[in-house]
Amino acid sequence: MNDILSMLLTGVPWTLGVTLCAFATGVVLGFALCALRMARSRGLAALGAAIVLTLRSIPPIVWLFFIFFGIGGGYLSLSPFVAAVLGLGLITAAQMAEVYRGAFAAIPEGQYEAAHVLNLSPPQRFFDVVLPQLTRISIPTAATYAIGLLKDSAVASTLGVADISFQAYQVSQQTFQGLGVYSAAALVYLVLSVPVALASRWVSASLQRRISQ
Amino acid sequence: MNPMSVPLRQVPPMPAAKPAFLRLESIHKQFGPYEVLHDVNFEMCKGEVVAIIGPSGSGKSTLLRCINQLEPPTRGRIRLDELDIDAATPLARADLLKLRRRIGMVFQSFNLFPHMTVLRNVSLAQVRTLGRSQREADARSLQLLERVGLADKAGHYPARCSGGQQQRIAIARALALEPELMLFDEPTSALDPELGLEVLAVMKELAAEGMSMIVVTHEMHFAETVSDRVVVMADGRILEQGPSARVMRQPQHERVVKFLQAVRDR
Amino acid sequence: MNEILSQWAEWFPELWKGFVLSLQVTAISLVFGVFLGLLLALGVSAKGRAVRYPALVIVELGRGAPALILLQYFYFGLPSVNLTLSSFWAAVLALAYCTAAYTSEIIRGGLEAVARGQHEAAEVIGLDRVDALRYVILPQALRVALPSLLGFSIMMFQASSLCFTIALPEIVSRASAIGSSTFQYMPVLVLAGLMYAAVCAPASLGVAALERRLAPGQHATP
Repeated sequence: MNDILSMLLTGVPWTLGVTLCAFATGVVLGFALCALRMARSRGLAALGAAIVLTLRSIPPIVWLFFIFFGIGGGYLSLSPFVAAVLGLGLITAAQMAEVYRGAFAAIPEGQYEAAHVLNLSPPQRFFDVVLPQLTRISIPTAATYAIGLLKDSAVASTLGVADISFQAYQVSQQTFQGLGVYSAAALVYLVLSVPVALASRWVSASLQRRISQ
Repeated sequence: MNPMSVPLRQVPPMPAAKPAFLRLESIHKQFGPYEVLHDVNFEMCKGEVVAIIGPSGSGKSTLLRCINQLEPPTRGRIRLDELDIDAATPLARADLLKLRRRIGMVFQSFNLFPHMTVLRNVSLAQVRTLGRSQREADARSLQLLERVGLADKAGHYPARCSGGQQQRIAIARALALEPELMLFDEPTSALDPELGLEVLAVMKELAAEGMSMIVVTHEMHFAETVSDRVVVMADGRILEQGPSARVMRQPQHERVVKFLQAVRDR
Repeated sequence: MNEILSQWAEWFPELWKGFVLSLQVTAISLVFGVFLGLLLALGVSAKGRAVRYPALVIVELGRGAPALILLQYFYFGLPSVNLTLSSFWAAVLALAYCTAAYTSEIIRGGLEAVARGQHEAAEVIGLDRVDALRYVILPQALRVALPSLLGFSIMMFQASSLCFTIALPEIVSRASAIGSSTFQYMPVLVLAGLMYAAVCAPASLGVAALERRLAPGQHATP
């Protein structure tokens, strides 16, 4: 069992790598998408909505294959890791765009008025008043998505990224102990999700203290 | 209101010697460290209408809910005719069911089932608890709804009815099982005064027909004019009880005097 | 453009077979899964520890394990204890388990949303626990849970694409086969993607509209 576990654990850095990079990509790109979605021009807003809807209506594995085999096959050559991060990152961006949109709506109207009255410049208004509150409100939902992304990252194994799922498949084919291997793999994912849940609670609490409501 | 064309049940005239029908002996109720009811003793006869009044937090609603075991008392005994329920012994499922069939309850917030029509609200228990056929139950439900003046609402959903109408439907629902005792937990507290009047009118007719009723209420007029007996509670104890006219006009306990004065002055 | 359209026309029948298979797997998994999810929701809400703890473990395992691992567990894992399932049934079992775990939380949320007064009203008119659940509580709980359940169903349909890894001949596996034989990955994957989008996009919009109708004024879940 120890051998199986140690083989599985070699996949952990890859799983975490895909998850974190995709999440970071999604968090940043999500802003751009959200901005598009909330643009004043009707056309741009509709485009944003269409992009978000499309990203969320097609399964991750199709996006990954599309990026790796479709784009990666002919025009560029992409490593499986990059393709996975891009694919998952784009889907995360769509989800985060919706989270931000909801968070924007949840910021009390008075905040914008207060910022205006205090004569803050637009960038100051955004970075000092809006962004911290946006972050605070978004964190719980974002944390839930992060945990979901940890599990979704398993799809990267289909491209050959040597993550936990990839290792699990290899080991089970070699040892014919599929039951034990996959049970162990499931437990590894479970254990990995605990720190993320705790971290989100910690970040949320420290932000609460710094930005008292 | 419709004329009393459909009696709720046949009640014999009040006998001269009135046997106790409901007895509460040494009822205590504790919620964690808080003692909400302390050594409450109470008796009532069939056909009596008892109003329980008192300041908020006095335990009035809790006492009511102890009677039909929504909150089983921590200690004490409840006797309804031959049913004898001691808090110390676990209550058999069959006995609880017998109790529920004999005692109807009307809640402050009506608690009608929003996803069913008014008719089904009243029929459901008849079919499931009494085992009547759907047709029998529906016919009886229509009679009851007519009795409270709402037969035309039978096919509607509760959300389309006013608060006063919903509470009257709730009364019809409680009457559907043909109970011997009706418990009312602040039936008009959630209603505008005018809507409350419709409900009180129904309750008054019920009382006139001889239904045994215990009503927790803030409606002092009802307590004085409709009920036979008034019980005043505070801090989980009964401070005073007696004939309604006497208690309401010539209270003896100091705290009761203060309470009634405060209420009158409002 | 014409070339792509004619290729699509050529590939469509093949992809359609996979599409139908995905729908079947999803539908059966959902039916079993939601029913099991209801049982688990009741189990997790139970008072007795003997029922609650095992239910909690089952739910947390189902929610914590990636769908991909669950699928491979049933297809590659079970044979190691001499239980071999076809890829169809392995897919159904895995996705049903996944559905049960997630929907149990959704349904539990719905159960908790039903007002206390409803339980009491059902009690005082003499309904036993089963009848109270069946006639009063569950109908209301499921109404609350419906948008989330539908949203989850859409996600499940997308998750069926992972069955590619357990040799189920659904859309992705057929698209991949076509791609590897023609080297035209891009067009065939676009077609596969469009087929998914054709179902999932209107469905998501429909669920969002339903959510707005059932709970006006509440912020729609992202």
